[in-house]
Amino acid sequence: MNTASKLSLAVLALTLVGASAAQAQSANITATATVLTPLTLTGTANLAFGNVFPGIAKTVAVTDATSGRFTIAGNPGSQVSMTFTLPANLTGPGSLAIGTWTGDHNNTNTTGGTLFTPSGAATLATLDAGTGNRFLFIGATVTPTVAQAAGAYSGTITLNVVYTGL
Amino acid sequence: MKRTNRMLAALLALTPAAAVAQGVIVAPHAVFIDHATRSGSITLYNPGENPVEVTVSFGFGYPTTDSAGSMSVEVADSAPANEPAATAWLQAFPRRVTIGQQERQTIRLLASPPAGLPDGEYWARLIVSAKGGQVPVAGTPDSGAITVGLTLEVRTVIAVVYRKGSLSTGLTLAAPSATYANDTVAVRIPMTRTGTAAYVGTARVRVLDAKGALKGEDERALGVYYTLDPRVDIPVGPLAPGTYKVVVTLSTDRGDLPPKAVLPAPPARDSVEFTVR
Amino acid sequence: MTRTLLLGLALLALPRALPAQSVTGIRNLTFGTVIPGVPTTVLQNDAVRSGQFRIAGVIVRNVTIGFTLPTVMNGPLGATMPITFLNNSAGFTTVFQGNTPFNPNTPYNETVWFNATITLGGRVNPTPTQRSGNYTANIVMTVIFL
Repeated sequence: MNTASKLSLAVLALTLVGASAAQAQSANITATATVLTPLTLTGTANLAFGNVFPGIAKTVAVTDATSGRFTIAGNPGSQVSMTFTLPANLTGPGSLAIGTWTGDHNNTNTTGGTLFTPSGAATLATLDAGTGNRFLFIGATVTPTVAQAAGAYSGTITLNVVYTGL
Repeated sequence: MKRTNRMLAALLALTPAAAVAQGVIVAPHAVFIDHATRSGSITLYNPGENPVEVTVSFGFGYPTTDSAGSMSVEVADSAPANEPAATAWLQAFPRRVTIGQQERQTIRLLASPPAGLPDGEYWARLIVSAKGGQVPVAGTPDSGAITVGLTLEVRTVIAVVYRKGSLSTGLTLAAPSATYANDTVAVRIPMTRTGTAAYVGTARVRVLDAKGALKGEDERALGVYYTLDPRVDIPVGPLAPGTYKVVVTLSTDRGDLPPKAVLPAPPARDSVEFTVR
Repeated sequence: MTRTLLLGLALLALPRALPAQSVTGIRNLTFGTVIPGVPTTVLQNDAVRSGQFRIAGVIVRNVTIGFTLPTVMNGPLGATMPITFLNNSAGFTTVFQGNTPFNPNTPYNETVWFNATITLGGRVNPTPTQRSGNYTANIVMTVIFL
């Protein structure tokens, strides 16, 4: 019998000697987590006018499929203040005037909620008491001149949101 | 038409509108920093399918009401000289970051207050700006066309409160008023903060009839930094002629904030009656 | 061969009287800050956040390890948050065996050499409107010494 085998037998013996009737022991730990209250702003669809023609104003209404869309998600039932930073002109090969901003906010992802003027003072809205959501729809009118240069014009709509309760 | 414009127009036309969802989750919605630790953090999470560029900056502002009782929080880049502002000595790390799809990023907030800062509460607003890297949808790629689109940017503004020393808060509630019109009771709640820190709490407003039956109610989070006189509109429907009571209760209960962030204060309660003829 | 020799040497070094066999909770399973609507997973081999138990006071012992696992964590004002454990959310480590993942949802048979460390991960799935605050749940590990 080699040394390894002897040791194995010793281990086996110790195991058998140490063996006794099955017995159970328990211990506890705790799982912990801290849920934070978030505020989520999402730009869900850009405001798109598509093709426009020199000298012909074009309006995208809040109800149009190409209106600009935001979603706010936060603490259910909380009031938020919304302000917008809006361009007066779009940039491209030249300058393209944009204005007559319109807005609609609702607790469901459809228009038909509360109409507001994004270019005006702060707009208050209460997040849905159940989902914590508020949906915004933005429209505007672009007014190309008769000599408007062809090309791509772009700008940025900025939505600022802050809780009024803190 | 320049070549770059033609390329941009083509790119605009090919970008689907539905793919532009961009934004960021900011949590928590308020940060409380203690003078002992002088640091805090927020977590940002990009729930979208595209990377989001995020920049973080500080401003100053707090809730106020206008003469009509409408709330607003005007955020300026810097604070007036007489305000207890932390704006100038707060820093965020990193200040600019790109967050990949469904990834999170921690932003550390570190305070370096001036030596000898008196005990008190100091305020700032954290502004988290997020925008996606995409361009808007437009029309047919036509070298002679004018194509127009606007991208979206979102700015989440949250409160940052820095506290040093033992602070207290409270509220003095002046007589509320109530008017009934268009099936709605409009309640004004004039309040003045007391103590050395902003009052953070909740206003509960209930409209009761003469028998004590509840006709309508509202619950609203409050942050009273100096004074506030909000108007709370409570839809109650058509009310029969009679006398009604509005009961206003103010407390420091705030389920959306960690308990240790809310300074305790005794509840304030008042009521006012109005008559429907 | 080498393993057996090492074991032999270890046995020689054993004190005459071993302490009683024990099962101890060492470290809580810590998810940290969680954002509503965003699931958070802690891996069982996370050196900081995973839960940890220890079995000690044996020489060589076959054991069956079982867990009583929560399905929700309890939060403020009666709020609950779902918690789940995947089939690789637990890990077993003993003297001669590196971390071996196993399924904590079913009993697991192993051999403990002197002592063993059991680590536990998990996953919380907060709803988009999950109430903010601290959430906790109790986790029990039961070891049957065979």
